[in-house]
Amino acid sequence: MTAAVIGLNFGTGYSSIGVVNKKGFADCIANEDGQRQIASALAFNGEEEYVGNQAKPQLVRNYKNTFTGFRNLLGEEFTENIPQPLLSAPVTNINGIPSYSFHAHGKDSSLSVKDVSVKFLQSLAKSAEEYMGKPIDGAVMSVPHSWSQHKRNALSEAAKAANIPLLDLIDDWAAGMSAYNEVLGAADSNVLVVDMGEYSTAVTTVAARQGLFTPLSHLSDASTGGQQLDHALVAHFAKEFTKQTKIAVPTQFSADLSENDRRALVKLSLACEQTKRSLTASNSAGIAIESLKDGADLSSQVNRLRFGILASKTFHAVGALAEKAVKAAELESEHIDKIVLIGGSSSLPSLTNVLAGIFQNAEILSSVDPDQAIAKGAAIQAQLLAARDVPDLPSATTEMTVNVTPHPIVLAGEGDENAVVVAKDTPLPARRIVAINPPHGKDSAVLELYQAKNEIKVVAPPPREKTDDSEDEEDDEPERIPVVVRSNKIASLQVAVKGDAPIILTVVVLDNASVEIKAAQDGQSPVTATVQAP
Amino acid sequence: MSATQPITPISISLPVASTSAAPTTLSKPVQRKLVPVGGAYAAHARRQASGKTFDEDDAAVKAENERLAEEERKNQPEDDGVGEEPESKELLQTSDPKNYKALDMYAILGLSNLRYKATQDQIRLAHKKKILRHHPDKKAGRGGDANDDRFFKCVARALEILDNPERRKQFDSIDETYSDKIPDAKTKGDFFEVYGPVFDRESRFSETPVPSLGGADAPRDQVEEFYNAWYNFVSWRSFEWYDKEINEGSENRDDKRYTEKKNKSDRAQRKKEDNARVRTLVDNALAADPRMKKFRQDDKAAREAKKNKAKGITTDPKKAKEDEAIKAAQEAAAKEEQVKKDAASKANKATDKKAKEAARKNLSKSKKAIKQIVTDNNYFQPPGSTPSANDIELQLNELDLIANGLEPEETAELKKSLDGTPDVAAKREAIVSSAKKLLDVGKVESGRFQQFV
Repeated sequence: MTAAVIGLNFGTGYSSIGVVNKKGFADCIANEDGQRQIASALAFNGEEEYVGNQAKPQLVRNYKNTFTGFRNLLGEEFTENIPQPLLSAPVTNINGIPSYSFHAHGKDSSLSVKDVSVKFLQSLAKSAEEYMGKPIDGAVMSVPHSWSQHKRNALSEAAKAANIPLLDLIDDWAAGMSAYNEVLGAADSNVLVVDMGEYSTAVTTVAARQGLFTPLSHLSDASTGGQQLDHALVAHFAKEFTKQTKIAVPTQFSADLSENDRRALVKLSLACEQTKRSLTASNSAGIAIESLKDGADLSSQVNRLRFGILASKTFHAVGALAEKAVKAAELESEHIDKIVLIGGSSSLPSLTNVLAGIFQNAEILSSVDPDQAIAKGAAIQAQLLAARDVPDLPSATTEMTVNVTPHPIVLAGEGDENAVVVAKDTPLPARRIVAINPPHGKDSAVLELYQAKNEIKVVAPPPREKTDDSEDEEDDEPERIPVVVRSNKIASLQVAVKGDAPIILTVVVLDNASVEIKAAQDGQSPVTATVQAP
Repeated sequence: MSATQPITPISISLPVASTSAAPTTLSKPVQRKLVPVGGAYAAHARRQASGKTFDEDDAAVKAENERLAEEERKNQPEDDGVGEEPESKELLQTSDPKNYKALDMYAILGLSNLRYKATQDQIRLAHKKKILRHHPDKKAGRGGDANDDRFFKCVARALEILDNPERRKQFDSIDETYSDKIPDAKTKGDFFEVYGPVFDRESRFSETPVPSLGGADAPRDQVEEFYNAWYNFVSWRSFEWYDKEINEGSENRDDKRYTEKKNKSDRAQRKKEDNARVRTLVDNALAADPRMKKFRQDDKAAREAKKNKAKGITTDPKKAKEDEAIKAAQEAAAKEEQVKKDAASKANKATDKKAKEAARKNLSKSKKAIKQIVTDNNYFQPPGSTPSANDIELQLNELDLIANGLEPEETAELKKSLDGTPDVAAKREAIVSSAKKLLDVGKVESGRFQQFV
């Protein structure tokens, strides 16, 4: 009997639920409304209480009793410059705690940000329990990397109040890595995690070494997110509407908007969000709003290319952020091997194109839907924690430091040829086992291990033949190839060779960076060497 | 347990001779944050916690995996000839998948020795064996009729029913292999031999495990626990199996509903009868149980011993009997007295009640009569003069007030006193005194009476 564990991605804009299904695979499930992306919203209307996507349409006519953006305020104190949600009920100050005042059940009442979060989390837990048909045994939730311990504690408390047995809180990016554990578990790669959410974007560079993840740098930008893409579409369609009907529609929310204008803007924003989603899957998407303003309808189309142009500023901002993060990790863009996309807005193909242009050596992983990756990854982690292979895994919230290799260790080949055996930033102790084909027709081989440096080799393009058309100027840029360059020798082993069976080389780097080497063909007595660290 | 480390193939052409560079010292490691996420981390933490080297850890993991595999093997269902009972010719030839309710599902799967005791695993294993043996294609190979797949279908049907817990219960409920007969007082033989197997048989229907009958020397609390459990017996037995098929194709909705209703009531009836049957069984057993008889005797002896001790008399069974007889006579007398007393008080109460009832019934009559008396006496105005309309209204209103305020008996009394005197002034006085009574008690606010003051 497998434990009923779930992963929750409680986002600012949208949330999702990951569960481990009966076959033992993580799956992102739909709630009762059939939504996998559940809007983080709560609304009251008279006697009714709406949670999730049902609450969103309430923004049009009932925005004073509709709450969004409460997750980010968890654990915060009320200050004057607290970010106020533009479309939903304003945050008010009740005893220094950010709260919402509303009118429901025929009377005025108020709920603190924590209470609203608890109500919302309860609905998520209920959906998960209904899916699994039994109570939740454990849950892992994800939080932004930038969250302080205080905010994390506030979320833990909210989860506790919602009767969710919380196993651990992990970073969003770590959940994304966890979702791709099968791909990343076997290899050494430098991974760039791009998390473009509804309200902010975060980029993390991670050294993934056979499933061990050490973050190298982390950058986030609260001014770039799915919202900006919506704004671009809103501006586009507002212009189109004005052109069609000669009725002006505001494109920016401000406090002095008339009720009519506000309603039109909300309608347009909600519709643009849908259109944006459709563009993820199809090449063009329509928008149709009845009675947008003054009884006039809007019906139009936008294709992916047009959207790409409209939103290029936002996508390039994400690209620039990613480049900055890679620089901060003291890497070159060519060193990035894999890109993991998480967060609802990351699934847009335009973003993939921008990233593919910058990180030319990187493979953009796409087997997991970006907007489900966090929830799935959290569910996988929950499964791992529930199984408890190790008696006491430390919680993700405790700071863990570990020794890592400062340089790559390479095996020298003929000439300048090198093969990386132990990559840079590999957590210690580490072991790598490699198989090498012995030199053909010889009875011994020399294995030489070096410390090395990662460098970029700039290769000037071969001189072109002079042709009249000089259109593809950019092809003449020098090619940049990541290489490893030997610096100092560690050890040299002479291995006897019989036949063509591969030589198995085992390199163990101990916690103090001492290196133990063992090499032999299968079945032969191994040649060993040990190099002590200073 | 995580898998062993992968071996990465490297394609590189190795040099034959060593280079001249001399080995140098290693660089120191740097520190970085490690995120405790993923299976590799769990393995890392395991090694850190145990302090084992890679090779030692590999060996430990391998040993653990082997142990788990061994456990898995142990947990596999044992195949000691499950479902390999000999198949009678009759079973093979007469089993008709269309009339599945008449089939013996366990016999078809070759589990008739296990029946309700068969585990899910055994059922599945037996089914697997049977379909392999009875597949129509195999039959053709053996020279049989490949088109005769009736038994094969029966096997499929048997699994369909026995693999579904709900349907299996339905079948087990009506399994005719087991008789429903219960022993009664006339049944001869040793109590434990007669009742033991019956209780064991019936216990298969219990929602929760129930104790078995036990032996002749079972301790008292065990026996009491046994009867307690059986008097609270909750059976899952149900009788859906006997339901009449609802003709799905039928257009007639009423017909369908009728059948449904009939099935439902039949099931309820059967269930009721079955519960009564189990109850009777327990009753019979309790009555016939030699252990209970012994406990009762022990109780009695203990009571008497206690009583005698209190009286300071040594046990004398003869005297005790006499005492008992005297006491019984006394008790009987007291009881009779009590009964008589009760009857007397009952009779009293009844008369009171009767009077009240009568008064209530006559209330409207009395009211009318009083009013009539007042009217007859010219509203207490001097004879000859005509009473003003205002006076009449006020007086009638006040009379209503009085009649409503007074208890029905009191109203009746008032009427009686009015009837009793021919004197007009005295009559008025009677009404006034009644009004005053009401004012005194506070049932009517002062000032409401203007005429009768």
